[in-house]
Amino acid sequence: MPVFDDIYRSLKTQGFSKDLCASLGWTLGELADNTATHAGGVPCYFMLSSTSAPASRKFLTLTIGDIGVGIPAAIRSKEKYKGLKNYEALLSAFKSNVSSWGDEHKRGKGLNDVLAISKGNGAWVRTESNNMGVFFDFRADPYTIRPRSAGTEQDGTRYCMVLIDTKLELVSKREIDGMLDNYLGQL
Amino acid sequence: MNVIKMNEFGSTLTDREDGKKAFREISGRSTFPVALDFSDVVSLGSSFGEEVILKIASLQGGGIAILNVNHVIKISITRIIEDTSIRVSFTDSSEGGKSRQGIV
Repeated sequence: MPVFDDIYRSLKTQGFSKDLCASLGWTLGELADNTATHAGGVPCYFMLSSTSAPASRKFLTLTIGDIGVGIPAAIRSKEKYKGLKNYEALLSAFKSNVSSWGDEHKRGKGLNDVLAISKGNGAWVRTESNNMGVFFDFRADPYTIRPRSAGTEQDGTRYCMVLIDTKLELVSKREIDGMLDNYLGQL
Repeated sequence: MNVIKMNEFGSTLTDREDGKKAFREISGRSTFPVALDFSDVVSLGSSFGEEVILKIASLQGGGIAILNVNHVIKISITRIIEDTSIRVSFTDSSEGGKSRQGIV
């Protein structure tokens, strides 16, 4: 996509690393693909802002959103997940292989990737959908997962994520699933 | 072995439908086994990777050679093949001309 090439050029000019560009492309691509696939092809928007200070690490903030049906509604539309509460459905969407599509399609990896990138980056990601939200904070050990009120009752889904310009660490699907199962078990 | 230059499909490979198209194109014109060269590819997502890497590896006895990936794409591929029986061998060249190999 030409837009990514323009973004990479701009980020490299500002001194951001290849790792950061790669993480951004991966994240933005997965979230945009989610909108195209699960939100009924409605328009999505994204914003990027960069922050840096002398002798300090560089940060990139990504915000992406759509005006689709919302994650909990989409997940709960599937027979297998209709018994979940909305907040449980929102969290479950981040597990690998959980999708509003049928199991035979073997989808549901994108949001797991987003959490793995955030955790591997030691940063944070906030998601709002269907009038509720969740904040995943990986800046400290132990990490925290907290419910957040949505900033708007507007339909659709919104993500806000920080990427820190540092080497990305590998976080497996199993680790993310385990983290979510542990949190869901405490609800 | 045929080497497929993945940057012909773009520098950011994340869309599942694009992955399906890429696989159709690769399988339509290539003799297997093939290796995938990710020179000048910046990002790879699970959706695209599943449609290309897993499918090609399945046609090649469960193994695939991946060339010249950056650190983040290597992480993406490691996650893509997690919980599968697919074997990936990574080969890349540093600026010094040394090659590093790893098999996952």
